[in-house]
Amino acid sequence: MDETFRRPAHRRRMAFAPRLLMPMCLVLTLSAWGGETETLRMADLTGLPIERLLDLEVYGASRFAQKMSEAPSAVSVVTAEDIKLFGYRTLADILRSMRGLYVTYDRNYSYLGVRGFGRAGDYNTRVLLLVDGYRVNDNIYDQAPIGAEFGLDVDLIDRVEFVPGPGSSLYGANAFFGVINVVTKRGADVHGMQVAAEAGSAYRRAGRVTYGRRGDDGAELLLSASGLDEDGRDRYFPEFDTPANNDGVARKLDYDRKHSLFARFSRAGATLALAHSERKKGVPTASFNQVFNDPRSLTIDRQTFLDARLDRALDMTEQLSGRLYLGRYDFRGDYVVNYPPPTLNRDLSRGRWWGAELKLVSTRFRGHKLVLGAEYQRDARRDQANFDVEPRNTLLDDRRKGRKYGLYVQDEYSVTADLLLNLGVRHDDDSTTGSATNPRLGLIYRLTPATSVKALYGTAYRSPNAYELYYAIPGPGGSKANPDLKPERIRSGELVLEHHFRPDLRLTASLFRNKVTNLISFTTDPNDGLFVYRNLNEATARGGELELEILWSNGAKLRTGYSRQSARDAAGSPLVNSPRHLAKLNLALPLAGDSLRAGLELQHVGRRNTRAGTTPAYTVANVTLLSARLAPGLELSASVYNLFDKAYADPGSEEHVQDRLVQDGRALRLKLIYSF
Amino acid sequence: MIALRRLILLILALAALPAGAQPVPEYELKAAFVYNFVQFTEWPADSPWDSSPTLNLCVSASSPLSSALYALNDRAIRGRRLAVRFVGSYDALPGCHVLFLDAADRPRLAQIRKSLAGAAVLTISDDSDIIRDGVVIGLGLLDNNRMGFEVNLQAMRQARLTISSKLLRLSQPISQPISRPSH
Repeated sequence: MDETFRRPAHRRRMAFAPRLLMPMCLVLTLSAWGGETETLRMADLTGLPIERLLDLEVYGASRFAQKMSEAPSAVSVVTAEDIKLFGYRTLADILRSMRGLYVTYDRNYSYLGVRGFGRAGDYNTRVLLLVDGYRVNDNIYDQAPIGAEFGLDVDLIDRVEFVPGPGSSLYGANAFFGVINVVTKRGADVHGMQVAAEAGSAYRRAGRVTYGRRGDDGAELLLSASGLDEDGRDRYFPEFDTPANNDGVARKLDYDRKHSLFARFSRAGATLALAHSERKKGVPTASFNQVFNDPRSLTIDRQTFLDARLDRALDMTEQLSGRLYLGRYDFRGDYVVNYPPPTLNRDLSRGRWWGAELKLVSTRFRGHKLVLGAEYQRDARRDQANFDVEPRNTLLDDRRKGRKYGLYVQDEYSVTADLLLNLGVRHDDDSTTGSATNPRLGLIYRLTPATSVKALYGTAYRSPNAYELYYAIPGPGGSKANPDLKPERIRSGELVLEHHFRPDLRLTASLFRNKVTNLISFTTDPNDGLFVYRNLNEATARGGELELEILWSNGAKLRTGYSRQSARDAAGSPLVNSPRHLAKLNLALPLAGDSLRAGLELQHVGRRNTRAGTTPAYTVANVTLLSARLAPGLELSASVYNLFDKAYADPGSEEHVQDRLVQDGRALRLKLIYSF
Repeated sequence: MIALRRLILLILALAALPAGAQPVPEYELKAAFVYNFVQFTEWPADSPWDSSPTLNLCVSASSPLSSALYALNDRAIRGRRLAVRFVGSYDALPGCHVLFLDAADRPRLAQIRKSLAGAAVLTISDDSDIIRDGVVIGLGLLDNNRMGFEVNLQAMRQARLTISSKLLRLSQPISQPISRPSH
């Protein structure tokens, strides 16, 4: 690796594209060769007796987890089965197993890194999180909650899809680096009562009660309540290692508590969903220049949404969907600041919004699948306040409203049986930051029955959020507003190859280039020492990914991949928290048929730059044993995370004194699910 | 770069594995099954079968199978011409002898059922949900990378269809999740 690093920058950038192109060309050559031997086409197949048809091996496109989203992209899918088998506890666990993604945790929130862009401290404003199509990102921070702060119990997830690349042509703002699409389970998937209980390291206790049913008329009901209480461990931070600071140990401050509710009812094309969650997290890091080891440091995130949807088929070729939603987000952050004396300072944010969406999907014209949509959202409140609790002193009381709308159209045009063209464009208008128009172009070509190539181009944007625009408090560790922020933009190109070597062996390879301009960055103004958000020029990431999936007839499954990327700013310096190498391996193994299975997971994250230095590369192994049929209706799983107790760290962000934040060592979890 | 090189070697090694008989594409194979099902099905005497010069196979134009099914257009089946129709509205459904439904049809299933209302239509689907809900023939991938199908006798009787015993003999349950080992 050192050899690569010693090369001059321009050489380095040129060097790896051909290296990734080589295997792609190789695969193309192989598949073209495979195509000649492919003779059994339609004419022959219909001529065969049905017994022969039953005996033919098939390239089962639907055998691999199928994407359900309309994006012409190399989508990663994790199913409910994977969630159980690999012992995933949070959405962050699910996402970090996917191609090209990595997660940074600052012991308060989890941040998603996508293809070399990992803006620690950005509250995931650059990914859009959808739950059954409802936009979860709030209207103050635009935060996509992915850690324990995500309001839905992962046990209620049927599948998670990650669609990398710009999605603004369909979804508008925030679909910047990608879209996380969470699809929840339905009543029929639970079928009766289900109780789950788990216990784990750091005094983790969690439980869930779920009821699900499906009526004879097709109506489905799902009701669920969950709770999590993790005491956490005492955390040592060498940066604070002085006798006055308890020798650098933050005591009983890493706790994580949450409760959540989810209800959904659907009948004859109408769906009503209600979700509520509250998560309280102790903050042991003394972020934002707080007093170290003060038990009052915490954040509380409360989210609620009500989502009503109606899908109606107008006729066989046209379907109309309408959606009405109501969203609420409340944040409380308690910070202990030493003015002196040490004073409890509180952030309170209130977001209230409602919106409507109308979407028409038409297949009226042969070969075309047209999607037309309009979306309107009213931000009734985008309020931020900050004050000292005792003596009461208001430092910020900012109240905002807003509205935005979007109009979009997309056409999926099957030019021939083997060529699909995907064209889309969306226009957005936002009362705060103006309008934006974003196109997307996709071309999907099936070279042979086993090989397809996709070429994608698109742009996306993100408006500065209320926090970035208006948050301001004076004093040390304070911030200043920047209402002149402009939206940031991304331009993205991607080439994807999917090839089936055998029906049960699939390769996905991709090359990408993302260029971001007007990037909104959290920085400190050297003149006054205040935090401020600024549009800081631009950054470019390019790289490639390879992923291999193998299925065995006994139920074993392997997914492994490697990605390499380089993300640099305009001056050519590598970005902070951007690993050059990422590697993943997920192996599902049946040990005793269906009754005992093992899930093995390996994740490698390469060396990353921090603000002041680097964090070394690391590899973490996680193992889960799942016993599905312990007794009728009883399921037990045991997981060990970070099996080899690997010591590793994530880069700290601007608000941390710590340049690196040490992550968890080995952790255990036992989980019991009883259905009756 | 070592990791990448190893990965390429692994891929090459896997590619070189003996593949046996060349597998066939899924959608084309499914279409061939549909063609067979039509051949082995008899419609009741009072169905539009008698009055219509064509045997109408209906599918939504957005179905991934639409292209593969369209390749069956104009084929002769027992003296009739097979006409693949991309259905335009529910009113046209009574004209369908065969209706292929896929996952995209889930939301409009209730409506489709209503408009079928016991008509003599051979409903076929490759979606596990729709199969569970009751269609005459369900198609699905089995664990051994082969295609299988199951005939729902109750649905068959409701649609007043007669399906050849040869087909019934080859029918096997496929609606279980495919990831489960078959033991």
